[in-house]
Amino acid sequence: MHKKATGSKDNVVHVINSINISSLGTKDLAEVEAIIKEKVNASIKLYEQLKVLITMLVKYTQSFASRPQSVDSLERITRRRSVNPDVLRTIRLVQYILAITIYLVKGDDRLLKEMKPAEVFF
Amino acid sequence: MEKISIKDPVLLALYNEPLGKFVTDNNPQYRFVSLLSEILLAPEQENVVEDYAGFYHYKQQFDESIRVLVRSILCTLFYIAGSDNDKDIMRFFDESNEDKKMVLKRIIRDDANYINSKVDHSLRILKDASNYILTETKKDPSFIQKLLNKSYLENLLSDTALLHTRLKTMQSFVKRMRVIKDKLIGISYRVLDNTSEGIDELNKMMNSSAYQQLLLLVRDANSEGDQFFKHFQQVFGFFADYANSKKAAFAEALDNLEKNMTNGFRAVEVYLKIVPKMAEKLEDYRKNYSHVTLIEEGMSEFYKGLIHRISQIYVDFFPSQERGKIVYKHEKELDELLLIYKPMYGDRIRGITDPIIDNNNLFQGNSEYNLTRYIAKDDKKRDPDAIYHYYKEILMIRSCAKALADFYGSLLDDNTSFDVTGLEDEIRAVMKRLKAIYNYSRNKIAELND
Repeated sequence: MHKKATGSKDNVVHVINSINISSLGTKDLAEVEAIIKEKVNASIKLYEQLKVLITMLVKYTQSFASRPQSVDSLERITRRRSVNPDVLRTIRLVQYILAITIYLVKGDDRLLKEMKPAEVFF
Repeated sequence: MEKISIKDPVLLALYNEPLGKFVTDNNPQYRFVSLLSEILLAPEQENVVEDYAGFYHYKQQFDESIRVLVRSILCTLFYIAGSDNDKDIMRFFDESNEDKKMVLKRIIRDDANYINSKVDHSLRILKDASNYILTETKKDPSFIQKLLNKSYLENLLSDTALLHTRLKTMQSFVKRMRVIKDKLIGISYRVLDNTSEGIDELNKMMNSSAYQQLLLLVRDANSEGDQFFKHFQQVFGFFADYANSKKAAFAEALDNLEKNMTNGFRAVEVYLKIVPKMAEKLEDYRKNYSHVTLIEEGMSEFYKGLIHRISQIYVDFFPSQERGKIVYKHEKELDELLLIYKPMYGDRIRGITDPIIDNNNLFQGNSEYNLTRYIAKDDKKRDPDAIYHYYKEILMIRSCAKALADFYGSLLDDNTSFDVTGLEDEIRAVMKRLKAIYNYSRNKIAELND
């Protein structure tokens, strides 16, 4: 579990980096638009989701106000039979935020995609 | 207005199904530590060689903005004992920090606003970079602004609807508070008016010396005495009925009063609690949609008009809040008032009734005027003790009504009046403006979608 951290400074990859500008010059407008639209649109959505999630957390983390919980003990709470819904929501929201952040810094959407809930939720 | 819905399926599941099993539960991949190590141990960035110096510049800026964003997210969510920056969170994975505990923090509104501002910053760089690409490749960049406009409008639309719903709830509270002014004073004065006339008559009669002289006759069982007692019974019979009828009406009025008053005070209490939050929400709304970094430079007419409307989404809660605080102080006085209604406990009642009763001390058991011996046992209504009791009740009802009228009179004088008409007008006007913004955004989104 404990690995040497290399720091986030050189680890940021993103949508911009994945745009190969030299190759765009030869494409026509519709293609360029489609590529950039897709990337920009995806980013806007992610960023807005981050905003919503963080704002929601303002409400749910109030239950930790009096006694901050260690991350380990919080995660143990999820395995209990009766869980405070606010705690559970908080944990899941934080997981979601972190999955989005992983996508932002690594371009890896694997975890985010796996979070898609099963049919039972609807 | 349309109901707000969370469109994102994951978010919806997180929100609606807190206790159901979710895909992340017990999945080691989603433990915070695993997720954090994914973020912090990201692979080295590929060095893409670019011919465009300007693009490289944007890339650097963008990388920096993402780093700041990630740092602010991590610092907002987590805390490692003894430090408060993302480097320490990273060091958590270093064995040297193994003994330290990582804690999930309480997130406050300022934290959320800070992250939001970082998000806006990243998005602006994203927009600039995309525009740069399009300009360099000789393509028309206007569609980027279109995308941003659309996302701005979509957020504005849902937040406007939400704010409208909240104001509507507030409106109902304000309406309930109006009860204090409109209903209560009417009830108390009505009771006072209804009791005054009978009491004045009765007091006049009881205080007249001629009447007291006549009462002496009653104790003698002669024909004059019998005649007078019949007259006496008639007079008091009237007051006994009167007191009985007023008593029922008064009790009902008092029950209504208590109910309305309690509701009114509760409404004021809730109002005072929700006003600061509401004011904050209105401020956030104005702030979020007037100072967005995503909007066009130089501001087009489209934004200028919209932002002007957004700046008008303001309600001055201060005067109503101050008045509410004053009115709310009267809640304790209401309790006192209800005690007054129970004569045994009310000093104010006794203060009024006792002297009158002392002055007209005619019917007590040991009095020479005690007429009990003349009264048939089954005719309780004519019993002088019962008559005395009714007389006391009439006095009590009157003094209660007077106390109530005094109470509401003082509540509604110039310094303490609680007039919510102004507030209601303001809220209505703001709701109208919100509706206009909502319709405008909706139409614009439809235009952009075409």
